[in-house]
Amino acid sequence: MGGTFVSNDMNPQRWLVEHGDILYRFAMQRAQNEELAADLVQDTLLAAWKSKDSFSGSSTIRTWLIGILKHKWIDYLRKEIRQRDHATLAEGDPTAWFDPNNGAWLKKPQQWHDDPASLCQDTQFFQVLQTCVKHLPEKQRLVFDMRELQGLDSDEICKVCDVSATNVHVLLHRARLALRQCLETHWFGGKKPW
Amino acid sequence: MKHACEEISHLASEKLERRLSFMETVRLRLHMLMCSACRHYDAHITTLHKALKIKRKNTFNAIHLPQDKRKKIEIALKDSPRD
Repeated sequence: MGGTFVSNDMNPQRWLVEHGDILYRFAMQRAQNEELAADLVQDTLLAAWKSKDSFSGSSTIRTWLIGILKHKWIDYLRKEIRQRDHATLAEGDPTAWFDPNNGAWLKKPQQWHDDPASLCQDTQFFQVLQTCVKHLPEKQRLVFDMRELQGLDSDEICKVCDVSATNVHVLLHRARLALRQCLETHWFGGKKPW
Repeated sequence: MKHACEEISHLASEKLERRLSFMETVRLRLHMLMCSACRHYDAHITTLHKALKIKRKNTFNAIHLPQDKRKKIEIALKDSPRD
């Protein structure tokens, strides 16, 4: 009986019906682009079908498919990043925020009066945030985008960029310093966004 | 403490990425008791982190694979060789 069950499960058309939406969600969250996301789902299903013998049955089909999709996306990002001109991958000046003599804030963060729940409903806030993200130095922008917009974990980001977790954390730290200041100036400080 | 705020702001960011050690947590908390700027900084990046997490979750559940794209993938799967 077990055998019949497995062979029934191993059908890419059925995977598409049952898991198409969830795969597309993961793809959209990462790619932020409908065409690219659909291609990613298609590649995932084709790759899964090709390597169906590698499915061990220790996880569910859904988890297995999502795992393949995540790998495909990391591969895609790695290639994408390698093709870029490395000279443009500027790091930004990490010392810009603190007094070099005593490490104190040069410009002290002020109090904000928003909570996460109301901020995440505010479309205007996200427009300002996205503009701030665009102004980040390239490496910081990439890492922040993967971590906070796509929701990848540190491990996945390390694989994409071929750097250590410490390195990723430093980049995230710098990105947060710059973004926070940008948001304070253009959102919380009440100054008009660009 | 030399370079205190610079180090503390880094710890505040690390806190969102990994579990801090006991000593790191103590250092962070003690410093923030005395320093309102770092307290604000910590609150800001945590707020931003949480807001984006909620936003991702909300958007995530609202996404569906459009019919035309589903059809295209279906055809591609049919065309792929079976065994």
